This record gives sequence, C-alpha cells and structure tokens, in this order.
Amino acid sequence: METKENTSTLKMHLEMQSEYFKCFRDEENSFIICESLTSYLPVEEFKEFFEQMTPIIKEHQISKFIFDKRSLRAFHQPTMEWYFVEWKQKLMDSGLTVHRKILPDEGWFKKAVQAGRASIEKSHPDFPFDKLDIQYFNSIDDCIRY
Amino acid sequence: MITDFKDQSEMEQRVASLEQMLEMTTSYMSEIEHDLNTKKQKLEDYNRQFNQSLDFASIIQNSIQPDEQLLSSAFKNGFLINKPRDVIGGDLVWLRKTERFSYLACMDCTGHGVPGALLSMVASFSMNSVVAQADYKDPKELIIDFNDQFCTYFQHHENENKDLDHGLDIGMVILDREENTLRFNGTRQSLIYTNRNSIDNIRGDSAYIGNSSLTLGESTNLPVSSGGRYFLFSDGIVDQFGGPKNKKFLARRLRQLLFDTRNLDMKSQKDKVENEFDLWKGEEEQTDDILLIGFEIE
Repeated sequence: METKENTSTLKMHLEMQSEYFKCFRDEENSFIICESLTSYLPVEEFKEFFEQMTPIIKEHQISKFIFDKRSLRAFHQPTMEWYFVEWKQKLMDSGLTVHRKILPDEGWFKKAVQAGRASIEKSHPDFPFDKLDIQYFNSIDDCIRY
Repeated sequence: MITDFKDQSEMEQRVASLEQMLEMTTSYMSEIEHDLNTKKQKLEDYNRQFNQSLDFASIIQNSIQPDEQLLSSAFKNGFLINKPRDVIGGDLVWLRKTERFSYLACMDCTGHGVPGALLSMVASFSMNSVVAQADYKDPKELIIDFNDQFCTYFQHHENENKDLDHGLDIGMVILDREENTLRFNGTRQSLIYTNRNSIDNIRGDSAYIGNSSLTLGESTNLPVSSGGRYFLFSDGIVDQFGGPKNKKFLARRLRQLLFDTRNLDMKSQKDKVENEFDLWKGEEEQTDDILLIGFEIE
C-alpha cells in the first residue's frame, strides 16, 4: 500500500482511486483507509467518492474507517456536515461505528475542525454521537492499532 | 502556497470555504471565551464566599480559645504560637481557670482545615462538659473522662466500644495552686520543661483520644521552680519541612531552640522561636497546623 506510514506488513487492497482520494481495504476486512490527496475536496467529488465507498463497506462488513486528511488545507463545512450526519449515520446501521482520523498538523486547522464539530453537535442534538467511537491520531499505525 | 486547484470555480469554492472556516472558528472561540469567563466569574464568586466563610469560621474558632492575656492570668506569663494551615484547623488551645486549678490542654485533632476545626469544636465541648462536672487534680483522670465524653458524641452513628476513625492527640497540665503542684499527662504529645541549667522532655502515652478503651500511664509531677518554663506543642512544628536539605524541623531542634532562648523574656522567646521557624520553613508550604504553648508559673 502507498500510505505515508510504514505499514508494509499489512496486506492492503486498493479499492478505489480518484483525483482526490485513494481508498484501501485490508484483506482481513477489519478496516478501510481513505486518504485525501489534495489540499481541498470539492463537495460533488467528495460525495461521489464516499457514495461509491458505501457498498464496499457494506459488502465487507467493515467496522473501522480511517480517514487520513493530512493533505487538506481547507474544508467545506456543509460537506463535512453531510459526511458526519448523513453518511456516518447511514453506515452506522451497517456496523461501521469506529472512525479514526488524522488531521493536518496545523493548529488553526485542528481548531477549525473542533469548531465544525461543535457546530454539527449544536445543529443536530438528536444525532447519536455516543454510538460512534471517533478518535484522532497522528499516524496510520496508531489509527490501526487503537 | 496552495496551487492544486482545478479551475476558477474550485478556487472560489475553496476561498469561500476558508472564509467560512475562519468565521466558524472565530465564533467558536468567542463562545469558548464567553463560557470560560462565565465559569471564571462563578469560581471567583465561590472562592470569595468560601474565604468569607472560612474567615468567619476562624473568628468562631478563635473565640473559644484563650488569648495570651488569659493564658498569663491562669499561670504567670505565657505565649501562644497558633498557625492553622488553612485559616482554621484541628489544633486547639483549651484553658479553664478555677479558684484552685488551672487546666491547660494542647489538642491536635485528626486532619486540618474544616474537618479538623469541626473535631476541635467537639473536643472543646467535651472538655467543657467534663470539667464542669468535677474538679480534677490528675490529668490522667481528666483525659480518660474526656475521652469517654468525646466518644459519646459520635456513638449515635458508630457502634459502642468501637474505636473512632478520627480523634485527637492531647497534652494536658493541671496546676493545683492549693498544693502547689503541676502535673502532666498526654497522648502522643510531649511536654518540654526548661529551667536555668537544664531541659527535660516528658513524653505522653502512645494511646489516642477516640480509642474506646483508653488506658494511660501515670501522670508526671513537674518541678515547680522559679525560672522554669513549660511548653506543649502539636506535631505540626516538628514535622515542618525546610532548611538547607528540606528535612523536618524535628523535636531535637525545637528543644535546642527553647533551651537556647530560655533566658529571654517570654515575648522575646516567642519572637525568636517564630523567626527561627519561619527561616527554617522558607518557601516551603506549611504541612500541618502548628500550635506551641509556652508558660511560666508563679
């Protein structure tokens, strides 16, 4: 696999690729890694790619989704809201409840993500946040391990 | 510089997204700041009320303790060094003078701060109650009766004949003016006696108040001589960390200090002891309540 980390011992299968993303699935079906490739993800391309990942996740009964966003320098909040509230909820019913994320190292970006998450929580008080296990790490290895 | 945009539209979308991120983050930070300010204000209010409450509690606790004037009137001269660690504390001076007797106790209740102060109030009430019922010549008998009374206060909630989890150490002297005797007994406290040429340390028993079946050794008759001085103290002063190697002050250093200053008048001796102790403590935090009582007799 071609992620930034040394995970060569893992047997990964490249499931999908676009100008903006790569999606790998480990052969034991324990997780999927989605890696952003550009500094910005336009809304249509984002939704299209994530919709295409949906049947793969369902088919292989994936329970852990690792989203490596380190290439990003800006995000579109409505897109993130869709990803969080609609996409995650849809797949939660299929057993995808563990989300691991890697953010760019910039403090302002992390703060903006925190602000975005707070905004989503405020706008969607009924969303079952407690049923999702969402954690942030600095490496793919840690995302896989924890 | 970010240059990986596909076309003008994507660039505009990206700029709009950045503006939205900035606006959202600024608003979020403002909310956090507001929230923090509200919590800070609440904490400040709580802290002010708590400190006012402690200050008032300190007035109450001080009002049941004698001052140096009262101590001197019950013996001859006396001084008190009473420094609770947290405004109020578990160390307490208890004094009662009758026509014939002067009773003086140095009490060190379990804990410090509010729980220590609450226990000290119970101890004070217990001692008042016991002394009101009889004249005591022997501090051993007084301490045993005091222990029974003290335990009784807690027996609504705890089994009889069961030792309490909380209690106190006590050092007690009784001056009998009719027989011209001064007697000492105590639990886990000592009395230091100095005269012109010597110093003596009389140790109390190892029992503690709160023990349902308290037994004590015999009381000690102290020398009653001109120039003699007597000191009762809680363990706070000797357990204080400080000095060049950050060690405990220790009873040995206290005894030496009291002996070295034996020829000063009591006011000067008190100042010297306080100065030496403060020098020892330096910037270290006070670890426990501190009480040192010194007195002479006629």
